[in-house]
Amino acid sequence: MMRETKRTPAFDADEIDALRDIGWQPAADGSVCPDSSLLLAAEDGVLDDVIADRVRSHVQTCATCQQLSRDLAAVFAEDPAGDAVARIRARVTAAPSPRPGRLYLWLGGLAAAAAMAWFLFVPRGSTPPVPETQLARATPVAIPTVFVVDRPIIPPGDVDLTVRGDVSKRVSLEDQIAAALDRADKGDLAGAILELEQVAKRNGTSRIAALALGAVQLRAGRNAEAVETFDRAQGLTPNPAVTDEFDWFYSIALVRTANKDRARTLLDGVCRRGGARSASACAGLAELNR
Amino acid sequence: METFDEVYQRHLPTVLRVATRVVGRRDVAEEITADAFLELYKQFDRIDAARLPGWLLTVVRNRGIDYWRRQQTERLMVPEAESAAMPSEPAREGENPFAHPALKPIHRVCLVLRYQHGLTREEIGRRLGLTDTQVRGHLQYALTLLRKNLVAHTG
Repeated sequence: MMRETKRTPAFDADEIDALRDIGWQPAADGSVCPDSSLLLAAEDGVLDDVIADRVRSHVQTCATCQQLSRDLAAVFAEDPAGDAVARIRARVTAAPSPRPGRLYLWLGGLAAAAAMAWFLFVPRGSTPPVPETQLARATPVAIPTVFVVDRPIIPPGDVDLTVRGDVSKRVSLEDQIAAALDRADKGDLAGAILELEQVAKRNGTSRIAALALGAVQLRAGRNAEAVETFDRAQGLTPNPAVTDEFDWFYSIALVRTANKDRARTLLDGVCRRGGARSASACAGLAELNR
Repeated sequence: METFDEVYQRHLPTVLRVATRVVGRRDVAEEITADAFLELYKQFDRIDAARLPGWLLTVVRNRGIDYWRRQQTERLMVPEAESAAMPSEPAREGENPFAHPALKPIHRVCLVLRYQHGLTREEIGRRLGLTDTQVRGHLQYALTLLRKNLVAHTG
């Protein structure tokens, strides 16, 4: 995650008027303040020490950040809204909805989140989780089953070569992505994400790399991170070979983070264009409009 | 013995509050909170109720540490080149025009994130667990109030 999506902010005319009236002038040097999400984390001992020290020493000298820290603490101390409670409850109790023939490999994000918890987040010293079968008491799935996260289709052509060192060791971008996706298929979602993050970083202008990363983040249930990945990639030059694929996975990320209006727009396009994801997108659209 | 639902209802607010502080944003906090309860759900028959909510908070904290390890925190410290085009903090300390006493914390947070950090309303909404419309409402309210205050001051 970067400091959110770094676009030049587009302000409405009335916003610009109001800002001018209250004397808020853009400055040439830009803000040097840390991302707001770091402020409380720096106090809670969950950040790397070096970063935490840098955040704290900045805050000591910045009245705006001090006020923002206090305000964020107050806002976050409030009870969660009802829809947040319902969303979390749905994530906890939703049952896996595997596709026939792909049992347990292509679980929806909720089941994948369970897998992630198993891989990474079992508390130190705890006993292993109970078998899947005991999840039978779970209540019905909250996210429409049509939004199944499977492997993104990466076209063989129209892919740039990434040259690293020796010509004989050239590995195409698509091969790197395929290797990472294979890793995800074997269940190592965390490893695949790390690999794809590197690939996406080295290929900052590639929509394909972002697509693969976002798709695996979705499988791991890292929905908010997936939305960020797609948001960032949205500004890149469109790659016609993966337009539908990109929009399809982007829309799943949006559905999972309750941005249904934006998801509808994307699904509508995929549905109309009649490509490989068209049927799924039309069905997804119908689900959302129900 | 309490059912899972009772435990969930009782501890959710606390766990979510801690998760939100740990990652500094509500959307990610919801995910790690769900993970913690999912873990509890899977092991519910074996976990001593007396260990709650401490057990849940430990999971959330570990999950938060893992989240930060995955982030490129270095980049969160230093703005990128584009940020030169956006408004920065006031040059002189104590002159933050957004720090008006009549504004509530939520208003000031929305103002700073939008006009100082350059986030979109949607991005702010995700971080604070609000809809775009709610963010728009907070911003409009706050700007109107600041404007009126200024007019009263000068007029």
